[in-house]
Amino acid sequence: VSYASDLAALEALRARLESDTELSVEALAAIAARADQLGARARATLRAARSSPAPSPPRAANS
Amino acid sequence: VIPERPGPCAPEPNAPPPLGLPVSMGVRAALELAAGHVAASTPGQIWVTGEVTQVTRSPAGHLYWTVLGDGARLACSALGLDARRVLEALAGANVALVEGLALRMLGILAVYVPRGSVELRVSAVDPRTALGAHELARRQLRAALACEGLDRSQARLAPAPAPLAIGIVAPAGAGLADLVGLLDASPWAWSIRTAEVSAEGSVASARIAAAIPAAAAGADLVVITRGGGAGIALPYDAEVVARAVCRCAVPVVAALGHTHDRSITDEVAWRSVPTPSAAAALLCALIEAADAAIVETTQAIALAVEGRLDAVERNLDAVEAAIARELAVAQARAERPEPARLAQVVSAGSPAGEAARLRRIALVCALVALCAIVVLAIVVGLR
Repeated sequence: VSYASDLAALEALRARLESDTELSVEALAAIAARADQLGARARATLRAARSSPAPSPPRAANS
Repeated sequence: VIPERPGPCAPEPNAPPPLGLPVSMGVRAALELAAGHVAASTPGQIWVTGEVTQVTRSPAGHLYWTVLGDGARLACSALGLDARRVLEALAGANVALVEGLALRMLGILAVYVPRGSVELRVSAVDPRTALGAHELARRQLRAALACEGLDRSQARLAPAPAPLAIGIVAPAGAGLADLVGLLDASPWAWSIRTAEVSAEGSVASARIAAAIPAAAAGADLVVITRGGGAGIALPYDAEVVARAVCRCAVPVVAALGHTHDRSITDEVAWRSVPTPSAAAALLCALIEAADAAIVETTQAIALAVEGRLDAVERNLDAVEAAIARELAVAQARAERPEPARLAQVVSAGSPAGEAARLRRIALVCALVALCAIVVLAIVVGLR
């Protein structure tokens, strides 16, 4: 799971909405719920707190 | 002791000393004598070419510099309008009077008495030759990279949708601290990998070039920055660094802190910004754009779903209204006789209808009587 895959899934939902004009009410509701879920997760990915310090610099480059 | 003959600063009222004897004179007089000899022996204006160093400009607008060449140095000056003319000519060629510039100058040789030096009083320069060795090397490298198609390789790259994994190549110092501090202070979830590489020393460029692919491994984007200070831009003009940037698989942001001189690294990088702080702002802007893309897409989906549901609701309303109308019609029909039935009823109750009914009854009776007579005749006949 990554920001890119979530964004791609959102774009796919958007494309389906634009192309499929025969979606049922249940399908529309499912799309809306899925979009909310994906959007929230993608935004959380951008803002996720760092749980560990940044890795140490690659000393090999200095040698 | 060698006898002296009187000079201008030690006048002797008596007769001039015999020829061949040294003349006694002061410092200024000696230099003025030299100046006269220089002026008399040089063929007016001359062209001199050398490498510029030690450029200064007086508050009055006069220019002073020194040119080097052939193991010697020559002081130069351009005064007043000449100074302005020199600067305008160089500006027209898009070069500045700076250290390292190779310059061809037109002027007259003269002795500057207060300093006791020979100088070239410049009245014009040839801007076509105004190219420093360093700048020449830069241009050649730029042309080579363009010929190999490498100079635009970074420009063709697209950054990751949300470049949170950042590789930084920088010497330890304030610039690196500024960049990392600003990223840490932002709300975004950076994953930072730092390669601390000195930008000074003879092997600085090789170290920087080696650090670039190391920093790019697993990163969405690489930032090459430095802490500022003068005279250490040279490693970023090195061919090995420029090629490492061009070959980097992820976008490289150059934040090298010098605003007047753009290095080759600045020119071939995906983006060039003047300072580490500007690099942090650029990175944050990329993530803000990624966040905005999510918001925009989810809002678009929500609006589209809402529109579709509104359309369904409008359809349902229309169906409901049609049903209500049909029910009303049906109810109205139930409460009053149908016209056909009413006509039938009306027709059955009329005198003409009664006569027809009586005619039908009489006809039936006649048929029954006829049948009875026939049966009776048959019976009589048989007996």
